[in-house]
Amino acid sequence: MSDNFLTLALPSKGAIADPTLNFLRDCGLRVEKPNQRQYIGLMPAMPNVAILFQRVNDVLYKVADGTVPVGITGLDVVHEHPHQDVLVIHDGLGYGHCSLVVAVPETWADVDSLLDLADIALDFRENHRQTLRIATKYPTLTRQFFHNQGIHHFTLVNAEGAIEAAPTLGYADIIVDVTQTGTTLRENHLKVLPDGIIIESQACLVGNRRILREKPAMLNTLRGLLEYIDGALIGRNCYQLTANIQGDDAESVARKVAGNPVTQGLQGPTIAPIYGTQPDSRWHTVTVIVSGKKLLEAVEYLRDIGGMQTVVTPVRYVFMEQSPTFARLLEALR
Amino acid sequence: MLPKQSVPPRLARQVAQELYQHMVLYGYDLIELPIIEPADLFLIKAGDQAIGKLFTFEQHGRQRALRPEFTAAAAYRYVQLNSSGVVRWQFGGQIFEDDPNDSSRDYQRLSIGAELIGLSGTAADAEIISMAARGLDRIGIHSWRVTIGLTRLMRQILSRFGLDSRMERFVLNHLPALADPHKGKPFVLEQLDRFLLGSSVFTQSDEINPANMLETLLDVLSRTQTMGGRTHQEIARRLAQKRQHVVERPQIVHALNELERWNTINHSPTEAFKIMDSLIAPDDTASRQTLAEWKQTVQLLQAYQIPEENLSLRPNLARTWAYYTGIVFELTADGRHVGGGGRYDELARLLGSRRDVPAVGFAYYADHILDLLPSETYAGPFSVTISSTPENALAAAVWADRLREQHIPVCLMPPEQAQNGSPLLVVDEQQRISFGAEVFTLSDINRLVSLLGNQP
Repeated sequence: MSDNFLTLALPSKGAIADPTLNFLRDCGLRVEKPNQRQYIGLMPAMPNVAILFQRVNDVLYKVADGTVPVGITGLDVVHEHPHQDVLVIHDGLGYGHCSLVVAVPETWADVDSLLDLADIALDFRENHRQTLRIATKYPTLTRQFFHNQGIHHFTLVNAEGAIEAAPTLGYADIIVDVTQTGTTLRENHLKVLPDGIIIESQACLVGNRRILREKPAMLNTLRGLLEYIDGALIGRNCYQLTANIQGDDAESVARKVAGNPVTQGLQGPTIAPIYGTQPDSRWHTVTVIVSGKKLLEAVEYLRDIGGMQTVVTPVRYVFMEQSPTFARLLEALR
Repeated sequence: MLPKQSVPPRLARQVAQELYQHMVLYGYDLIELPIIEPADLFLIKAGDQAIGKLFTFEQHGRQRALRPEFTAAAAYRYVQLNSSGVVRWQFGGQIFEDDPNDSSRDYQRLSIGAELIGLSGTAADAEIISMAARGLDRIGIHSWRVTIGLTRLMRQILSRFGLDSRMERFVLNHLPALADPHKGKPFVLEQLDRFLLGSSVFTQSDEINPANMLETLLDVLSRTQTMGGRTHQEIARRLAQKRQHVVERPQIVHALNELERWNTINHSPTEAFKIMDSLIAPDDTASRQTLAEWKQTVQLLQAYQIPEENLSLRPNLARTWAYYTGIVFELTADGRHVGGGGRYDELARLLGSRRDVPAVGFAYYADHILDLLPSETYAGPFSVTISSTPENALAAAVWADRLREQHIPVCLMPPEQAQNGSPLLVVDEQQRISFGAEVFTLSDINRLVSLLGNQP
């Protein structure tokens, strides 16, 4: 195996398994799985990258113990199992969003905040002669969060599977679990405490700090991967606008377009004269990259300065002078 | 994990020995307590900061902890033994803290202290405080000061406002924040409103609207199951209490204002008693009685040679409101905290006792004490050195053994490594030993022992 060979661990099942493959495909990094029964895959765009499919928790464990140098998992998993060799390379891949939350029975009409819950925990101790029981798959984050909130009298009930049923079944009083929309919690007659959001999570790219430091050729392959990912992530938030505007010359048109920060583009607008059928038509074509959030504002501004026939096209990639994530990674490895 | 080595272990051992002897004079017997205990034991007592530093791990589904202190474990021992009499226990050993802010990774430290369990009253309080302070004298720290607080008095002042136990707990827990210049009353009031009004049932606009509450109560009661180990009645009762708290908000603010005045007291006993006399309402007989007892404790301390100038009274000195029930105190020396303790009459019940057990205790922060002592405070052990070579090894072994029988500590060392400052004995092939200009045979050993005994 050559020095620049990089193995990327991906979740094989669970909530972020398919979205991960879709995300990579949208970045131009389609994953092929030659045999559905096997746990390995290929990435045709990057022949030096091999894919290893693992359960979402195992992705982290494999990165932590150095079996694989990089992987995609959930931020919740990373925070629950902190490891000194694990480095979060990209903490916002933009999918797999969920929150780790404290949820209590809806019938607890008197409980609306963690201050209430702290009070209830003391009630349990003083009146029930037992502690508040919390069912969770996240014991580390839960324990840390509750102690930080001044709630010290509780027992964690380790549970797998349908945790939201624990209060109904009676083996826990409240739960701490991940939720995307809250629908499952509501269906199980649970309510999320507004100040009970422990972490907001999404898919993230993690790496083994030690291995990445020791293997520069492998790090260079990772750079290529990050170029695709950053290029696509920046590109997905941008649109290219092309509009026709009249003006005495290219410079005066450029001044008008750049007069609004929304239409200043990445470096500035591109202006080209239109050679139309009418002499002295003074028409120019303006091309500018704008943020997706400001698209309509940009279109309206171009109209205001005389823009016509505005054409909008999505941007596939924006490659900056270097991958910002790779630059941060180098800083973190230093 | 090795403990900090800046202090010679010999010094730590000798300080511990001195303090042990000191507490024996008061009748305190040494007990051994487990290093590993159920984590709950410490969580019951610990304040927020201590909990964050607890070393915990799971064993067979139960959470365990390395001991962060001795008091809870001593009280637990008392409960387990089903004792009913008075015990005077002293303890010493390593305690464990995982402080993420401590870059030294110094996880363990020496703690020494005592507990007087089964005895109430000012005499017991004064005994513990004076023993703790005078122990510092014994090991050569004379610059100590004692600051004493009284949680019971603060509770009694608070009880005049007629708040229920939840709101009393809220106010007491926020006393440190009230005294903190960075937080103060605005912060505490913000927390209060979060607690009272951060609810979907009561909002600023309809905070005392009974219709809203009735609707919520009916909704609760209409469900067949409550889930989560609480009954309809408990939920309804607490809901009613919450509404009552909203109504009582002005009274709670009034209580905070009153305690803010008490927060400023940190004076010598004479001055502090004068201020407190003026603050306590004439008809508040319970607080006046407590103040009288406090005065008695200070008088007893003076009988124990704790001078007034070494004492400060600070009623709000909070160590952990949920746990301490009477006096609390802190020992400082040269600006460092070197010890502290207090009365905790309700802890035994929390740990399984069927009755409250009066108890008072303290612990020295031994690592701070050791930092204050110059390392030459305690000399190293006396020993003589016998120069030992392969040729005289047999004769050296015989002499070393005979001298040790006479209680003379002996080190065998190669001649080139013999230590300066230790009397040096040299053995020859005829099993004679020379010390300075004199030569001895085994039959002269008593004369040699006598000579070594006179060494400085």
